[in-house]
Amino acid sequence: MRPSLVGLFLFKAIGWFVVCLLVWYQLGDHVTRPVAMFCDVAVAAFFPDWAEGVEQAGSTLTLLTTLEVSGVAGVPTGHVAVLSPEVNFLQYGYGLPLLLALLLASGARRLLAKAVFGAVALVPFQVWGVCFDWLKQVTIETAAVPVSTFARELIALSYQFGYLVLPATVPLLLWAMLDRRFLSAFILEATLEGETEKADGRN
Amino acid sequence: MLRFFLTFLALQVLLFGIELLGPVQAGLVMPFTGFLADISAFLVRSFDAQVIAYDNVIQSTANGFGVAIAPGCNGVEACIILIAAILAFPAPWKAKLVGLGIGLVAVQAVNLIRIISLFYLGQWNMQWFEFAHLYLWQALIMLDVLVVWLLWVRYLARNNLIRMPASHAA
Repeated sequence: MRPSLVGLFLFKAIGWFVVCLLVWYQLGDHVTRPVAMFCDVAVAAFFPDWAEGVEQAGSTLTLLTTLEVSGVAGVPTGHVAVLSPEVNFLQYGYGLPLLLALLLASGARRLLAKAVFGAVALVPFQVWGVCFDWLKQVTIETAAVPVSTFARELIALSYQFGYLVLPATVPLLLWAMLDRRFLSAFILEATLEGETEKADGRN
Repeated sequence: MLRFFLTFLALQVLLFGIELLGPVQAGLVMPFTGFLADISAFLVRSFDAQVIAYDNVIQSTANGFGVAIAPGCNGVEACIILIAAILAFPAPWKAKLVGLGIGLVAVQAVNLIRIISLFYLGQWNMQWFEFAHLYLWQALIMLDVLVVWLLWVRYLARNNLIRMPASHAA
């Protein structure tokens, strides 16, 4: 394997990522829709007491609640407001263009099927990110729903994990699983190259 | 493959949990973030003297614009992912340590480019700053981690250092 092969992969991945990112950004409204649907299902299942549904405006997802808050930023003193935390879905969704870029850069076979599978597989992690962002706002930032200290810590950890780690890590793992051929060939070629170098050194 | 993935995920969750502990944040992450701000300002001053750094902020004294290096922008999470990927891969400890030493420096070098580029992008156009900050650089740093890991695996393969787990005889 020539040293430039990793560089070539990187070059292709960056190029494809920029293209995919720009297209994905333009389609923000559409890529947000399935996540909004599953978020709606999730909040209805887990928080039926105070969650009323999810509203989508472009790529912004708003959690509609029955929770009333006062004395928080944005609410005038003496007034009560109904809490409706918002999340910009795209902060949790850029894994899709990253996954597509990796599949294109590695020349994955059956690209369309893998892209569709990957896009679907990303959704639960995106739902995780959005829902824990809402939960962080509801339980920690506004304390509209009182929870134990342990639950607060768990929500904070889950939010941070969903925001800082999952959006970028899951696409890499999915790519490694969906295009195992690339990694296997990569390791095999490097091994053979090492053997060849050793043989040349002996001669 | 499955063993690698599971070990990788377990290590990632463990390291991330440790990173979020109060004493680790106060004693390690925040000082490191401040150090990144100092290095960024030092590098920028080689071509732009009107830049200062304080705490985790680099700021232009010419127009007052500043960027704070927040969690997620200090490259610590990217380093955690690289550490987990290298530790989870079947290789000798010496090779792992070499990979970690070189790899973490490579990740942070690219992260400095991210910080400096965002500092100037923000002074030029806030919309592009937001786009690059929230989406573009987040993924590019992860690509950097992937490429560093691939180069390390390539080094292992060329030197016949990959240790596949022995299968148990029946």
